[in-house]
Amino acid sequence: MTLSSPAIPRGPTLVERLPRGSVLLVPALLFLLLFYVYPLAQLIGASLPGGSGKNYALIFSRPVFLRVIAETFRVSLVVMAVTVLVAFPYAYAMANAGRRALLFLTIALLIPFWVSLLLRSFSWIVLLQNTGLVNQVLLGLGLIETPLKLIRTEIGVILGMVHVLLPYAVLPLYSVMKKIDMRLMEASSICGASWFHGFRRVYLPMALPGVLAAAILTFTLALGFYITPALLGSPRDMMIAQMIAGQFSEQLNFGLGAALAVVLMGLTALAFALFGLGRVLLARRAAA
Amino acid sequence: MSFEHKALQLDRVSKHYGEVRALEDVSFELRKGEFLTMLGPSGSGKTTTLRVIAGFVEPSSGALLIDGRDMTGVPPQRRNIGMMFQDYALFPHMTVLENVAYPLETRGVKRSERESRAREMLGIVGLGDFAKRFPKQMSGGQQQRVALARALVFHPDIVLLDEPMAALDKKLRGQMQIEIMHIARKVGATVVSVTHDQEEALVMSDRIAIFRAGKLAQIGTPQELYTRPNSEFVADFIGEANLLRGTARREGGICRLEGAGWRASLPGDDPRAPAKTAAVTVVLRPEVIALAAEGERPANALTGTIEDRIYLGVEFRLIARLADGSAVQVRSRDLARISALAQGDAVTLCWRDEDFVVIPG
Repeated sequence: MTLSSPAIPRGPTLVERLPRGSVLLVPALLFLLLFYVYPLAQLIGASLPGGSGKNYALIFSRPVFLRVIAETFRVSLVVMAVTVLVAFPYAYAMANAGRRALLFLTIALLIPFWVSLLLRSFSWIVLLQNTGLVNQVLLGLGLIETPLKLIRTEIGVILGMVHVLLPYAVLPLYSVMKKIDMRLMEASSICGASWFHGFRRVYLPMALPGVLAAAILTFTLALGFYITPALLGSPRDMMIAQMIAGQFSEQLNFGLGAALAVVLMGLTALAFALFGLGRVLLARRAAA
Repeated sequence: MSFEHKALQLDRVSKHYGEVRALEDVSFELRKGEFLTMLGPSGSGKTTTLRVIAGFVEPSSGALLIDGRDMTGVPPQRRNIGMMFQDYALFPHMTVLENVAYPLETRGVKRSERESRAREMLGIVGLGDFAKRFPKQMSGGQQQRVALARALVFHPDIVLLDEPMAALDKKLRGQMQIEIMHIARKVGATVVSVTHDQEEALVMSDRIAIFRAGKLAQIGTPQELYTRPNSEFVADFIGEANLLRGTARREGGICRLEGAGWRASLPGDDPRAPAKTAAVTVVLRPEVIALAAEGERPANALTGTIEDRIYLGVEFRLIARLADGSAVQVRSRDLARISALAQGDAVTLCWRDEDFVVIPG
């Protein structure tokens, strides 16, 4: 080899290989590290005092904890199902509305969204309590003899949660639905399909990514609900977030509270993974 | 009433959207197995007519009969009509086979039978090997064949084609025009197509319906529309046309037509001759006009000056200016004589009695 042979070009350095403008990400990354990743690591550390897993052993051996976890999942599933069912026709109406109707539907959806969560939960108390509007109307109409017990029950919790979560389900559904070409439904009907047949075979499969997105959002948000079940439910309807708060603020058992929070996070991640798997399978089927 | 039902009858069909008259008194009939193309500029009512036939639009008045049955209040899914949409409207989440089998599925045909019938139809449109693909994995031309197969697979009474060539590139169009026509004939389908491309209409149709401003301007075979247009609009829309304006008057047994720089005559009993003195427009196709022989004084003639002479290989295109300033286009294969002409020369052009159309006004 002679000295005149061309030098092997040096590859770009790590910094050079980063996409242009990456430096703009630094503040956000720092923020996340400082205020999210670091406290999370602290939390996990706190849940394992002296490296012992006794808090986790306690959670998975005591029926009271398991019952609250199971209850949290059950309520979240019901809330997810009801929210998606209510959101579907609403999003369908939005996707097929004229400009004015769309504006109205959007405002009707988002104005409550802008009101504080606490305020909305208190409003439900006013509406649902024994002397509240709902019971008074039903009594006045003679439909019931004695006031229905709506508050401090699971019904109250579900109502309140569905109300809070509705926009989270409507918006992803709407964004998928507005891209569905309604001429496909015309094509379906000229092919001899009733509206329902076309809905089941053409519209619903195409709206499914929206349904999944709405379901995953509402379910994972529902898992961590605190204020609404605390105000509208009974102690028997306690959800895991209330239990975590109780460990921190009343029992002052930081280790157990932290462990419960980690369990909630793990289960939420698991739910996410399952939904994600569903989406991948769906996408694979569509691209097969 | 005859026992032989027409495949399709429209009787004074109108559609009004508030003040807007999208369709006004449209009537026509279709025989079984006929290929009709509705032709017209956008907004002329041809697409509305198609959507009325499909059942997507309920007419404001008038009647629509398919195979003799009144379709008032019958929804699209119970009309037994096949339709190919402009951008095909294939179901993206279904395979080609599922798409084509869908009309059979909705009719309750059991799976094994509907799949074999769908495969058979895919074979007819030349896509036998593509059953398991998804629409987006296919080219525009292939998607169109899938759409055609879906529209034909259940032996519909009528097949509707909405701008069938609009989404194809130019090269593929000519090929698919012939192919769709052949497939439609092969399965004996009665077809109503919509287009704004006159060449497509001429190539594919048994008859053409020309629409203008919500009304049916004229319906007939391509030859009828070309040789006997009933209006300036139709004359201009199908092919090229020279329009000569003038007056007609009776003189003894004959009808003389005259304008600035041109004259023509018709026997008095010719159906084209107006009964009394009237303003007329004469339609002359560029290829029926010829150079008059030296010294000849033909009965049907115009005189003008050569403005332009364009050589097109097999023929010349000649543009002559009349006394009143209007231009006349001529397509002629009389290459030797036209080569001798120069810009500004005076010419006498003539045409035969049977080669022109007289339109009132």
